[in-house]
Amino acid sequence: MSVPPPDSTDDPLLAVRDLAVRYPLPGGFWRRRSFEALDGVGFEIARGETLGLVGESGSGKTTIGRAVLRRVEAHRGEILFRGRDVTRLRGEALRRLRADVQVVLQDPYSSLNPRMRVLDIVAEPLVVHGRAASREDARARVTELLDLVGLPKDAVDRFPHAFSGGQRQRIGIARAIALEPALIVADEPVSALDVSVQAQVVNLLQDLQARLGASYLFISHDLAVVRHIAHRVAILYGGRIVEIGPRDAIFENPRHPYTQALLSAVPIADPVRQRARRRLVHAGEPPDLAAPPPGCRYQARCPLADARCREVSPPLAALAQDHAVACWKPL
Amino acid sequence: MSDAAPGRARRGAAILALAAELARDRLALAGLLGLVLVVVAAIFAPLLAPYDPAAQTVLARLRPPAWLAGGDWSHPLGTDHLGRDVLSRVIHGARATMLIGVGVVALAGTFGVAVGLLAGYVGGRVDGVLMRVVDVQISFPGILLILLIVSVLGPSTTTIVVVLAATNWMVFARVTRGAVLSARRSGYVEAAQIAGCRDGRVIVRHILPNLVSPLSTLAILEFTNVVLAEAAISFLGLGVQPPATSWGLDVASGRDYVFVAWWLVTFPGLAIMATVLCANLLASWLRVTADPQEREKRFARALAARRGRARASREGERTP
Repeated sequence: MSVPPPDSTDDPLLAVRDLAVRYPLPGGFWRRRSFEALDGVGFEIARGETLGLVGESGSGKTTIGRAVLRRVEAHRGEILFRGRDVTRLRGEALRRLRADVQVVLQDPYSSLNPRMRVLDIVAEPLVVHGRAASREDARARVTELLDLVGLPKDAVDRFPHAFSGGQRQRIGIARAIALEPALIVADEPVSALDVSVQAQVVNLLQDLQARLGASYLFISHDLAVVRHIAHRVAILYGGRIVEIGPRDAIFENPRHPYTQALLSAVPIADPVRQRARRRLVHAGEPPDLAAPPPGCRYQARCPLADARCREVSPPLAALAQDHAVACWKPL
Repeated sequence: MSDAAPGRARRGAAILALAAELARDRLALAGLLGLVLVVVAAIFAPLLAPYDPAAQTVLARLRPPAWLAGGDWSHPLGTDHLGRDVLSRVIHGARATMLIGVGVVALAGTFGVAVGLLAGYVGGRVDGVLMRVVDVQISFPGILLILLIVSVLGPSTTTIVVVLAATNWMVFARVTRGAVLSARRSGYVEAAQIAGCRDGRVIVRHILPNLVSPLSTLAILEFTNVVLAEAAISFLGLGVQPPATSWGLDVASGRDYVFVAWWLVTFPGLAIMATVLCANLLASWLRVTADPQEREKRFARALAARRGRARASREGERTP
């Protein structure tokens, strides 16, 4: 295990404050138009904790992951890692930060270089951060890592195409944990896998967390998976966090109308109960993020929206211990 | 270092294994041997050629090849309109043709790949500017540029190489940029960058290997282009200067006699075709070898074929 960090362990590992990200839109020669993918997003992740990030397509969940990984520039706000502002880190300092913040990508087919052997793929982080003394050392470490993620020893000398999707994702996980990072951003790590394999990979991630003590930023649109793995959950809508709190609070006692609608869309594997329950449908489209309306982002679909919702955007306010909702009329 | 010796041994073993793999593919081996033959001919031309390629014999003009009526074995491939020995000219022509062809492809390829890498990897404004330069250069008539530069610098082999490289690098830049753009967006490049690879390593380890197959194909196509372009320039009197010779020059100057002496264009033409064919055979082997998945498929096919043959021969023994 690496040396313990010098800072106080009471601080959250990762703190994101008032983060805004804009993507430029094509066209518009005189006035560059942009698209507000994230607006005023803030959350914290403690050491060894998993924060599940849930939202529909276009809600900005992947953008949060990319911003934390410093793959996109923050337009506004700050990202604190171990209490240090890393929002504008560049060059060598950013490269050193990468040793502590790793990623598991969604698509296990494109995320492994088809021309490299598993040995070289998994050893790459070790090599580029100077953690492997020699080829033999790297080989020993990679064998150990493959064993940790449940792959056979003889996998080291094979190419990625010899493996199934689930096995490939295990290789990607081995690469992510090679440096024993403090934070792993898992961007939809199981959505590209067969359902039967999803559970294995999610359980593997949980086991590894218990062993290595890493924190996860777990991005997913699958509520069942998030409920299984996350300690805390943040619900995103239209580039803002609408509700954040402990897993059970979110799933048992959702306070935001959107969260309720989202949870009611999950089928129950019991036909009698499934038929008996009430399905909330809030029809409508997500807001146009190139020209967001004033007020709440959910106003167009919310059955409770009134004049105030259309004019003033609701702040993310704590309702209970650690459970916050961005709504003027929390349920 | 204690690491150096086993490293070298491993590399030696890898080269031997590669050679064995090449030897199993008969077409690729034929291609390699053909290319070696051309290179040997180019290097040892004065020793191999029966005559001085520029020596004129007015009494022996337009002799047909030895196997036709009127031909004899003193000029196996006949003579041209000035009584020069065609075989000797083909052997000597390999020199200029290979030098110019390989030189231009190497120079244009290096420059074009560098521009394409820069444009594709950096992107944004750099990409925009570099690609507009490529567009301008492509729309500029090449032959005009060639005439301009050659008339200023005077014809020489170096001038031809530089001039042809200056008019042929753009296609390398475009192909490279396209391949880099698609590789740069792939998950494994993103993963490598997040793992903390520096740009140099990302380019060398993750992006360049994707260029092997399109660029080797392109380089060979360009080689044929260059051979013919050199012929055109030589035909205009701005390229290879007599008494030196090249295959292209001979094809060009033999055109006037194509109805009375077909061998003047045919043999240098065949030499060009054979060289390009050999290079193509080798390149298609290289393309498969550079891709681990294709390589394993080839290996499996070879294994299956061998088993099939073994079974057939066993059954053949049993029947009689």
